[in-house]
Amino acid sequence: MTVHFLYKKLGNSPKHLQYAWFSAMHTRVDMALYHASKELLKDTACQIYAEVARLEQTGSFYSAESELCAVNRHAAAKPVAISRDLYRMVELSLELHKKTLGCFDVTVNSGSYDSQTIAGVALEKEAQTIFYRRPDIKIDLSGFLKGYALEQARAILAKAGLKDALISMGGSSVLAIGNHPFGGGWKVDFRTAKNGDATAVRLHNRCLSTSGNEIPGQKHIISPHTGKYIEGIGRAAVVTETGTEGEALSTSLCVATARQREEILQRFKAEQILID
Amino acid sequence: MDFKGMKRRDFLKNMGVAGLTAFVASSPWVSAFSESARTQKEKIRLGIIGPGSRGRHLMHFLCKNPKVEVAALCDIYRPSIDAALRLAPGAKVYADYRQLLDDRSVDGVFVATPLNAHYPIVMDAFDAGKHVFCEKSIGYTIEECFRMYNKHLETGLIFFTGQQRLFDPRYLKAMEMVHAGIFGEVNAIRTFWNRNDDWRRQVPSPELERLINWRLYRESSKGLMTELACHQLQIGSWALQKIPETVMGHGAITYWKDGREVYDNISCIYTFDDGKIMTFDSVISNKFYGLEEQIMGHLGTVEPEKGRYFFEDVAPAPGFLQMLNDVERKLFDALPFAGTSWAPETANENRGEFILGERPKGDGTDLLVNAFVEAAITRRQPERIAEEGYYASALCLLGDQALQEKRALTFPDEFKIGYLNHQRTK
Repeated sequence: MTVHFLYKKLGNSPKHLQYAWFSAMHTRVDMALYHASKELLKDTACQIYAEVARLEQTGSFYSAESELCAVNRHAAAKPVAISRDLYRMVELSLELHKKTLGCFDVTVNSGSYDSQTIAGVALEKEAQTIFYRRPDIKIDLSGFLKGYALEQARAILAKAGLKDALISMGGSSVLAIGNHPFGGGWKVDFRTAKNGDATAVRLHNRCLSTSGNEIPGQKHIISPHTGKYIEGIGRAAVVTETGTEGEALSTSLCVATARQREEILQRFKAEQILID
Repeated sequence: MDFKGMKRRDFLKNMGVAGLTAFVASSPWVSAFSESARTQKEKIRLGIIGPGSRGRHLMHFLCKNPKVEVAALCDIYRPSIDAALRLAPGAKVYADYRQLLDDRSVDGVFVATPLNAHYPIVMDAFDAGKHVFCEKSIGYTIEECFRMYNKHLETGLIFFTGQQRLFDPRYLKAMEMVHAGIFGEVNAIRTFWNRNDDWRRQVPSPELERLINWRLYRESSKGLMTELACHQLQIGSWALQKIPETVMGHGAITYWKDGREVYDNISCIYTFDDGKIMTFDSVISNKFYGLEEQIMGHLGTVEPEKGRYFFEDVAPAPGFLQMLNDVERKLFDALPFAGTSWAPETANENRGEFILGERPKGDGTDLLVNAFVEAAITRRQPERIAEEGYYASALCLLGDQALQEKRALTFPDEFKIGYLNHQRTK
């Protein structure tokens, strides 16, 4: 069994709170759902697990067997027909690249990267193909996949008729829909890197995304301006409507200049929780 | 349940003795301390029958309790009396336990004699109106244990057995977590107690051999089963809230062939009515793995002796466990988990978490002894403690019988006491 479950009955109500967790996408996924039917809860969590695992097979930059890796190997030679999900993810990434003034760039891991690299990615809607106009392009969806998975999870929850849920992908991408059993929205806490104080944020039909180089010696965000790992900024956390926006925005804020930040935030109508 | 407590270093400091009552739902006998503030000025007089090394260990805690006066001592071995008098200089010394029981000023007795002497002393003590704390195993046969338990019920006097794990904070916390389902469905409990020594005490002169090394001779002991298994088998009924139905096993003297009569190498399998298993193994010629009771759930493992627990592949997240705890109390609190992404490299190796957030200290003996004092003062027998003690003894004795008879045995219906799943069928 890959998904783990714990249940708690909600007082005198016939409902149960289900806590389900599993590992996927090189991190852990935790979710809280509640309903009267344990079967429905369990089934929904399993569907979400299956979906996350499927997306990992599709969009992982690190797993050689993923669809994305096959694209990275072959798309410079000729247009490659791709799945609906991969097409949609790349398409969204390109849109978000524009919307973030170039700060969110899924091609930063390409060889001889420059700010024009991403323009070499060509999508063909009719044929649902992708083609790399430059030979050394590599798309890396790592900073995006979890947000996309949250949106897929949201659709599964809606289909199951579950209106209240909290899903965390590794703590850095959180989707909160509806309400906690005993309060409005869901309250999430995170420690600021600098002084260790807790910061709580209440989420209601929103996503919380955090990006940053919090762990010493584990830099992973590359600036499209310089092509190098960013220094200085610890974390950027934002609250957005969708997980995909959240991922692009939090990553962008880590690499943006102060002026760019202001403009990007306005474009997304998002709330910036912290930059430290 | 307070999941925050799992990691809080000051857990025990904040808890205090009265705070133990937080565990009353999963371990009802801790209610013994519920009136400890009210009994501050009370004092009871206790007698120690058999102040040998274990008896004096118990005395050590009693002498520190201001609610206790150790008023009487009885032993047939003078050096034990002399050592005990150093702990309780004012105690009256009796050569015959019956005389001690005749002392009307004594409220209760601790019985820490060799096993074969427990039964007559405990029965006489109840008849004399004394509350009784009896070391384990309580009886030499299941029938003796059964009669002692019934005598306790008839007289209404307090009856505790020396099962200190029942008050060990590590075990209390672990059982609360097990009962809350944190480790999933428990299907197996593996207990073992390994040592690498001959289990002998030094004997000043040869005629004292059977008196001092009573644990090694069948007439006075059933060896590893009555001395060690007794503590560990009780973990099964506590964790599963069930009593096993059958036992089979093998025992032999394979290494310490020094004239002893009890096995030095034992393996027993106890099975529950739903097929779940509890094992007990004891080898005293290899100590590498020491002792432990491994409670094995489909989500994780608890090792209460080491004070640790482990989860299978992915542990539940503390923040979400906290939410489960909160909804039970209808609380709406923030979940402490958000931040930059969790990655396996940044997670701890699966070396386990400390049940109490720190290395274990003490083993509950002090709390067990003091709980008896509280119960004797308030004359209120805590729920389930005599029953847990009865079954710990009955199960180890049934196991010994299975080893002796070399066959699988079923728990005799006539010795069921109507506890948990052990309702009498007739």
